[in-house]
Amino acid sequence: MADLMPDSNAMPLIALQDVGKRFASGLQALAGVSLNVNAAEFVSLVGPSGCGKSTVLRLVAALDEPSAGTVRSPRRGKDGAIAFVFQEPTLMPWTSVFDNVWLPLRLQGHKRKEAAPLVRATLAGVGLAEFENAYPAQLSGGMKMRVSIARALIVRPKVLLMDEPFAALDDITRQKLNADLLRCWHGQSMAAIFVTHTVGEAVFLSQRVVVMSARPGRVLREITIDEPYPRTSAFRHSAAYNDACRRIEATLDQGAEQAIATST
Amino acid sequence: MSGLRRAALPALVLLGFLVGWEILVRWAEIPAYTLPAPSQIARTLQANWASLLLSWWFTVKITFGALALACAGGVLIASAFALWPTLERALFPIAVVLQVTPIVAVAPLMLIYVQSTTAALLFCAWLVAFFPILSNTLIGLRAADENLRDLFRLFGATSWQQLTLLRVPAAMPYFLAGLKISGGLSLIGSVTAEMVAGAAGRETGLASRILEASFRTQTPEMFAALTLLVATGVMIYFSFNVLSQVLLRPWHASQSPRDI
Repeated sequence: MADLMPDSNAMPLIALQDVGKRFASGLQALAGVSLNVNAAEFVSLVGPSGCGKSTVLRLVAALDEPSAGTVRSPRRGKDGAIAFVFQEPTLMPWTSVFDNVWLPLRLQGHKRKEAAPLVRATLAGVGLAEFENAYPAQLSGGMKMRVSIARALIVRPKVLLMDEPFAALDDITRQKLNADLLRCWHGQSMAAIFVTHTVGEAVFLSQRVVVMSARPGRVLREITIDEPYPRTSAFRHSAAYNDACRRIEATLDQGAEQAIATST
Repeated sequence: MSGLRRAALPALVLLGFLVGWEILVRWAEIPAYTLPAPSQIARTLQANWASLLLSWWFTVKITFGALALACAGGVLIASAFALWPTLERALFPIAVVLQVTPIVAVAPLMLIYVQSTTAALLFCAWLVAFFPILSNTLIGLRAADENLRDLFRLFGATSWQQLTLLRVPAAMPYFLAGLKISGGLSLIGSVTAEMVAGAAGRETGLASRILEASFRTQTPEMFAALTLLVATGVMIYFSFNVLSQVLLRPWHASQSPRDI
């Protein structure tokens, strides 16, 4: 197990040590998960449905408490050190795009006027400069997700957690958003943890892909993607990309076989 | 224009109904104490306009007073229940008991305990009107998206910010739906209570006018008062419909033009 840990001299920004999570229902979501994420690192979690990927994010955000082990991450709260992007855009439908993006700053006590330049700049950054007065219901799925990302980025988080944010989008929109997300991440030095079902997406985005087993979730393997940023769509057709995808899929298959073997 | 056109059809139906009624009464020579013709009801309305208006005003005061109290009470109690679930477990059954108790049975009792008739009427009307607002608002306050709630926690929102920026807006469609129901109910409540309790003193509402006219077999007077009641009910319904359209149109699916 020790060889799975990245040996870094610097203190990792986020450290999960032998973390287990059992819910009140008795469901064991995670067992013995150890995972480090460094500042400004992009890490993806890949695994079958219900393997506790989302639970890892919730533990890092301190929205849940681990039932075993320790979780160390930047403190959440007023300073907005941690931002979360959910699978659904999770916007407030009763108010405008502007107000949705303003929300985190508003909760920190920033008035509308003083927040306005930053809100507009952030909206422009995700390509929605002209939509600040629109209501979420008037936007497409991809645009809503952009608003959701803008709302996360506006606090300049140290950690950006994303829980299958593009799962509901079509492939073209997803690739466009992947590229834009990388640009945003590259511009701000923040750690990103990205949960996805899609192997290719994980490889395209990440410096490191963590493959998890079926429930209870464990870390099966970590695969480093040594491709410099900025990455273009040409990377999607490279040998390195295909090789990484193959290795991840092989690990997932192995995990699935083990799961079947243990359950019978 | 489209609004006018949409209103034209029901207006025509109503007009046809009134004309048919008028013709029926004249052709069959039905006496006014059995069924007055619409024209005669209109004349009666005109003749008794000043005193009917006074009674109408009394009923309207009770209705809207009770509705205002129902809003305040329903929203406050719902907020308390939403904040402290234990309180809800303890008190919600009482709210249900209050709701299912027939108001006709309660009204005479209230007169024993409350000196002022107006207060008794207000209480009775409040009793019927507050439950839809309470239960709807309670559902609404809990309807806020769970991920949004997590997001508020994540960004360190205070309880007050959670209430004003998240729970109250999320509850608004539910509250307005409750308000539409309660608006009609508080009118029914105030009329029923007055029917049972009777109004003492100089001030009487439309219900007393109907009773009074019925004792004297003044059927046209009964219809005149009834017409005012119906008009008031329709007015209440439409004003709350407009209110909910104005407040919800930009965002809530119930007001989406695609639904129409």
